[in-house]
Amino acid sequence: MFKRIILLLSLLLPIAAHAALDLTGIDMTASVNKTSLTMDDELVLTVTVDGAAGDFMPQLPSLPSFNVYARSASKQINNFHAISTFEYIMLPRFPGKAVIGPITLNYGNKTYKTDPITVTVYRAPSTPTKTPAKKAASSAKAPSAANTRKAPAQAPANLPPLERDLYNLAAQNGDKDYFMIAAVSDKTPYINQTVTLAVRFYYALPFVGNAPYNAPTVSNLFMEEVSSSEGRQNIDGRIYNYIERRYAVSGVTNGPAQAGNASVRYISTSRFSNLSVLDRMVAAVSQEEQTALSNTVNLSIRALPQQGKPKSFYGAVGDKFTISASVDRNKVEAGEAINLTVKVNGSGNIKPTTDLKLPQLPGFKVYDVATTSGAVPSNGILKSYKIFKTVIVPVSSGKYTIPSLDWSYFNPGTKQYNTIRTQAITIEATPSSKTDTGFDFGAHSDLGNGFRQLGQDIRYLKSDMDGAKLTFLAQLSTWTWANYLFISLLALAGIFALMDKQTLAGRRALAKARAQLKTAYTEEAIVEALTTYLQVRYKVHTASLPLRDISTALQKHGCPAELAKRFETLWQRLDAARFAPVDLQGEGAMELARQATDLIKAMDKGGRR
Amino acid sequence: MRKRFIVLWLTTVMSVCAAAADLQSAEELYRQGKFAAALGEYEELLNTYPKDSHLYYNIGNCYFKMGSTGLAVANYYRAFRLDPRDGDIRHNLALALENSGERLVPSGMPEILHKAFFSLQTDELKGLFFLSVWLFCILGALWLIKRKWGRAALAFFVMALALGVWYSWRTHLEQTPLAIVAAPVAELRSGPGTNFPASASVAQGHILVIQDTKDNWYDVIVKSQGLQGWVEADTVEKI
Repeated sequence: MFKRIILLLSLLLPIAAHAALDLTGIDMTASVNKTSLTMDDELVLTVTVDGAAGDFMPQLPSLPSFNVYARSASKQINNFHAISTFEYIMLPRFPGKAVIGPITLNYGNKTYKTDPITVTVYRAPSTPTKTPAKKAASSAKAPSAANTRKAPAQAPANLPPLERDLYNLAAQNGDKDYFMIAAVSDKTPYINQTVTLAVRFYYALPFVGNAPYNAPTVSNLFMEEVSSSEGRQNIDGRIYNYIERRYAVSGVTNGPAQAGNASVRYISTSRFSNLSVLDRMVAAVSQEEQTALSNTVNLSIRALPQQGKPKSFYGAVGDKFTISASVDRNKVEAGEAINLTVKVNGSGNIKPTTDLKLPQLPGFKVYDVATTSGAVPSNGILKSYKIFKTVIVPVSSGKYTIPSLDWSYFNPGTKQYNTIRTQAITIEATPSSKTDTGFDFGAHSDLGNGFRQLGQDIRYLKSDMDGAKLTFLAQLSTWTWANYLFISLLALAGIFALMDKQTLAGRRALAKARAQLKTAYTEEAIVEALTTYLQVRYKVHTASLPLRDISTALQKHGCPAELAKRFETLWQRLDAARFAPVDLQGEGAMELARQATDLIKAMDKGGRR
Repeated sequence: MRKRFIVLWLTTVMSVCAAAADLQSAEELYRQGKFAAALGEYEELLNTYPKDSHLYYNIGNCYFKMGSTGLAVANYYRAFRLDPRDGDIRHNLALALENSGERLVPSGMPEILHKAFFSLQTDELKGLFFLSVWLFCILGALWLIKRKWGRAALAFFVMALALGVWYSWRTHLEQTPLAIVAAPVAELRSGPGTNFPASASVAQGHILVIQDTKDNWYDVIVKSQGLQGWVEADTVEKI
């Protein structure tokens, strides 16, 4: 039984795997190592089939402009995912524009096709000397010395600048067995404009083992490798093989920039040609390593024009940019989050551009934008992308529109700024169900007297404004100056009380009484002065009161008993003088006035209330 | 001079009429259930009248109806600070807080005491404090000079002292930086950054006391839960 299950599984598993591969679909792409070449060059066509299992072979279209002389195939399988690569080496037959039509693949009842590729083939430059071509790998003969060489052939004028420079540089070095060159497609690019830097290592003779390569060092440039290829070229009648690396470079700031020397360390086989196999092995060990250096490439980075620069320009330079915006859902409840994604794609390097600024989105709470970016080489061109993601939350129900977002770039071809924009997105936010069910309407309670509480809600709007009117008390709070006034008053009173222990009224009463007593020549005048003083000083009214009551009242208001007694004595004398038959006027009255003055002085000093 | 007065008077009358019309239009939108549109109108008015408690109250109502309890609480709180005696403001604030799991009246405190504590606006309290100080100064001066009104001066001194404590307490409460969780959920982290782990999440409407600020992050205490941590400033509404 167990064996049967294993057998069944072993049969089903490949079928399931095949089905899984088929479900995901396949992806077929075709690319060439160069899109412009001379009649001497060879072209490598690569067809990649991603996701197809089993044996299959893409069908090449009719290729009247090329001779296909080599083909290779390779396959990689990783976790049931297969990638097959087919390479075709082709030689051009005629100069002019050649189109490689769609390559087809019939797989799983479906036909897949690649996009056509256009290649420009130029005439090979005429060689000044007719030297028969030699196969590099088999020939051991080095070319003659440089001084015997004639002037190198020049590239056709209609070649693209990069290919022309590479051709001419190679032609200048055509007397060496090994050499290295570097050229750039545009020496005066704008900031952020991506140009191609090509580095080639030519060898007319094989080299021993691996030849380690060091990429050029760059200053004021951003560099990313985009392709690597091999080729063959006829230079002055001698066949060279070459290995080429291409980089996408872009200037960081305006001003000079440089791609320094790239280098390859190799061990030459030029001395081995006449040796036996054993001698070659011995010689290879003792052979010194040599280094081929490429020429440096100097660039002058240009600043972008300020005229016509739009607000939505974030620094991108290139062409064929596209922008798209999307949301993960268009219908939400108020208060729920929506993911908004804006994606920009295009040729060139947009990684160093600044982040997109979202416009005001009324009705939304907008969170910070998170940015990711990347660059992917594709068919020898650097393609990059930038993705801006943010979360927006509609704060209320209703229909909202996220407006078009503008994004501008500078096209170095037309030397103009172009603006692309996203489509507007409509969002529908329904009222939040959480709000409506925030109250437990089911939990109503009986309040008695026929009333039942059904639930609670907020109270209604206020139809007017409070006017922010200040009440009387609130107005008082603004009178800070009054604090200083009243506190100063209190302080002054305190100072007054501390400096003079008498009250102001007491002082006045004393002064007045003393003045009256100075001029008092009759008992009535003395009595009047005393009465006034006592009224002011002790608030005791002497009129129609018996002497004992006056004395008691004085003591009650703080007059010491001894002084009250003295007052009683003086008052009796004054009464006696007033009603006695003996005339006491003159010296007697003066004596009583003096005694009265002494008494009020004593009262003033010792009789404080 | 007269012309200037007339122009000023006309401008004032016109702006008051325009505000009244805007209020009416906002209320109409609110009645139709267009809370977002009503909110826009009220916020527009708030630019002209930034200290109007009724506008904050109405804005709080709009947010509450739209489901943004956090923003509703924040605006009711602003209205409550401006006019703590208003019964409607107190009711809506208490209800919104209750929905968020918070309380307006601290537990254990009788509501009548809370109402008494907030029976006066801060400015009114300040004015009353000033008045008692002035009366105390007058009576104190009289007592010093004439030895009269001593007891009354003492009574006003005690009153000024009590009002001073009350006013200081209210000012302290108002100056304590508060924030309300406005996002559906705010995460409390152990440091000011997303690289620090989140220790708790706080639902919208909760009151946070801000202790410190670093970049776009607040060090906060959630008093009702006894939690402390850092929240992102964008997830809260500072009062």
